[in-house]
Amino acid sequence: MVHRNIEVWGTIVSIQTPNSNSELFNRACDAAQSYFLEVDEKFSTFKSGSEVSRIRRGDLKIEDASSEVKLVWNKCLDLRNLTQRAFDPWAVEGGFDPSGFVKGWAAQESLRFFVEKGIDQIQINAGGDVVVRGGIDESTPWKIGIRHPDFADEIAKKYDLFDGAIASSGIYERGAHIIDPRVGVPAVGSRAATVVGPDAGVADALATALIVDGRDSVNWIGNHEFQNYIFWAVDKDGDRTWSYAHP
Amino acid sequence: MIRKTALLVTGTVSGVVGVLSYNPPQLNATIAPAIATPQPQTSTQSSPQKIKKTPAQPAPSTSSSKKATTKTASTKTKTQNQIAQEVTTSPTPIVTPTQSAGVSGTFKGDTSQTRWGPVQVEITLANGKITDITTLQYPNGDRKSLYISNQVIPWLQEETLQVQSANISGISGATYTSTGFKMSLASALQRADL
Repeated sequence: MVHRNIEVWGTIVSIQTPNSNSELFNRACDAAQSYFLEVDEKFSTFKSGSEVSRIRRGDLKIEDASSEVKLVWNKCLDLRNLTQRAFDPWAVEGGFDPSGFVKGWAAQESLRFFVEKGIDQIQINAGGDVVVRGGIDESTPWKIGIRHPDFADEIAKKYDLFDGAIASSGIYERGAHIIDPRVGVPAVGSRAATVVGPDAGVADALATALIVDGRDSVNWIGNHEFQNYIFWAVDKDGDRTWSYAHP
Repeated sequence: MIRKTALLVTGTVSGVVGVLSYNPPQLNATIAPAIATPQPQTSTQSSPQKIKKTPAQPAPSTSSSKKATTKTASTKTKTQNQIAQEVTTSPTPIVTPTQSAGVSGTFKGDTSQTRWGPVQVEITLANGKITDITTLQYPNGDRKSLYISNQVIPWLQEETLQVQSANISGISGATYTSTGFKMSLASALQRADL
């Protein structure tokens, strides 16, 4: 297994492949790293010159933004509507903040740098948002553990998959950090949530929405747009968990 | 926008728990340095437990190839700890000096006016780490009344939260990405003098 850690977005993107051609892998990682830095320059809310920061200040209109920012804006709009505003990057104090989507989205997009170099088996783990492809080998899936909300070094669940994405959210890191966009206070629906599906950006946003809505998420998880996603959440109190997959 | 990718989800168990270590992202420019830094965590767990497998999903009658199916395996259950559950309502800061560098105690934030109404939070710290946030004031939210679709209920699967011993190749967990702490929290942190 060849491995590379890339520090970006205030977290670490960890990439690994069972492919033994480390030169190809390193070149793909270099390309991915450049891409992640470009994403950071455009989307970081901590960089005053980023397009997102300029949009937040009112210095840049979305019509004049780059195609990537427009794309993310539109995807966030879709997800806001589909989750009945449980995911709402516009309700954050300070204005539009797509951070809850961008990390997963960029991890998903970075897959192309590996695929185009013929690396068909890869795991890209962007600070807990995981994109996998190809399995560890043709008959062995990637085995992705879900961090236990109470015990940082334990896992509460495991998903084995060849191709797809897994994103998690929780209020176990630094307390309640996700705001319910409808009322503007920390969300209390679930204390941990995980979404498995084909796209890491969507899964990232939906995991956040599960934290906000808890079991009220049943109002929107049945949407056909989410039919390829699996939802798992831990109730805000106690040890009950629930999961949902489309019939 | 949603690619249809085949997912194959199965369940297996045994072996070593490998935990990805990661650095905490920024909270915001002013209070980020004040937050205790979770250290990279690594855990190994070697003795495979006897495993009881249980199907996690009800078997739908209309399954298709693109639908993900899942199994879970459970090994042991731990009693939930109370770290994140403790609710503190003390009206004044109570600081308990400890041997380590971190501050412990409870700290009230200022009342922050939001467009939804006043918000006031209280944080509980243990050795400089936030272990709880209690919302003391909460605006009356205009939440939609709960409606549960009859079509959804049959596909909900309930379980008890468990700890698993499993051989894994990666881990998914929350990192801080959302903006969200209110000014009230920032002032509570300043009071804690982290």
